Amino acid sequence: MHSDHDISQVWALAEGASTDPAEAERLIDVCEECAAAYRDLLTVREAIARQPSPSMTELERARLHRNLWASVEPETPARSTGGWMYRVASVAAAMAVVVGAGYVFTNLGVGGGDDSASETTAAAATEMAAADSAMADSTDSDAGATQNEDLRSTPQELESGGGELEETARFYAGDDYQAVADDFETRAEAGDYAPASDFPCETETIPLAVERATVGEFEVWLVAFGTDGDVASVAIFDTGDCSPIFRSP
Amino acid sequence: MVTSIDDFELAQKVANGDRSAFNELMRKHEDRVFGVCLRILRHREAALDATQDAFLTAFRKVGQFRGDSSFSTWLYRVAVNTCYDHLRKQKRRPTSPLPEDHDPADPAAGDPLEAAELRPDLAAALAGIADEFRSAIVLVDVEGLSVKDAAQILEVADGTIKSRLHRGRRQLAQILGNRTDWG
Repeated sequence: MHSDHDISQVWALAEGASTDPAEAERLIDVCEECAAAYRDLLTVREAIARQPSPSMTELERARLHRNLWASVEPETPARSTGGWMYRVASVAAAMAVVVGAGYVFTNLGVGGGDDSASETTAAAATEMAAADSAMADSTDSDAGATQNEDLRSTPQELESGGGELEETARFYAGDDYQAVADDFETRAEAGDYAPASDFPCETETIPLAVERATVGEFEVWLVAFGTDGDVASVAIFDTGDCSPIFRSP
Repeated sequence: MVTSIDDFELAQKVANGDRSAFNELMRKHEDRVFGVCLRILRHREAALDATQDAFLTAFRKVGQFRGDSSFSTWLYRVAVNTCYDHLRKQKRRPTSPLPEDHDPADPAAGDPLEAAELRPDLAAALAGIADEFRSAIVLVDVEGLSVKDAAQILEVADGTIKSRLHRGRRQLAQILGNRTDWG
């Protein structure tokens, strides 16, 4: 921009909002750049004025509302820990299945013939059902029920769904995030990463290193914490809303 | 401004679990949010997706809205950031080659509904300038926001917005036909 003249004055004149039109007109007369800025803005405003405001069709509006509420159905804006509680419950339930299956294997033996194999499968299925039930009970009834249904979603639904479906998909991508976090820890300690200067998320301590990355379909911030080049932990945040996705350890 | 006070109260209700208040906020702002998204992303389906994502983020983060700015400014910031994320994803995605007879200035070449809403001259001109210039122009010149509000939304200094407007308008005007040579 021109260093000597206040182009805002000629812009205000073009917008019909000048508080000192005489001065603005003087600038247009004596300053070629000001005159060009004035003409540019008139041209842009004229083009914009010729076009109506875009709006959604009623069908699109209905779709927007339907999809939005379908995405937020299990949550309330104030509830931020439900997802994690659910995940903890999920892990506990999965552990119960493993322990239960291990008990069956230990006590009934494996490979002892078709009968024992059947018993093992049946016992594991029973444990699985009990774990499912515990999982549903461990969360509030509405959210638990809906999220439990999410677990039964098809891969296609997980791919296309937003909100809780997306979170569920991310939860099951935990192994990927662990590998990504491990890799970033190594690279951050070696200084071998692309530093991001526009990291917008609030963190309790100042990050040691931040890099923007893509994991699967998700855009994420990789954030390393620690001191003196020594990484103590790595967190992964969603670039869209800074929600935490993964933390290691 | 009365509207802002109302919006703040509605936002507080949403934060306390009142979903009907969020519906009211949506109905008040969804067309302008969609308009901003459409002009930044220049693709109707992408704009609808971004509008949905922006409102989803707003719903989840509404408890963080403290009323320091107007709700619409805060919401636009969410929407513009969402659009930027969509743009980044678009740029990484491989694109299909356009048909040989494709003419972006020809309204018949694109979505007829979109062509009816975004005049081809302006749409093509906006498409021809950098994302950061386009965002500043969409917010200030198209949506009529102040430089200060646009600066808050785009999280840059007022002077940066003025500079982007200056350069963006220059490019846009040149594309639109006002080929002023400043020497």
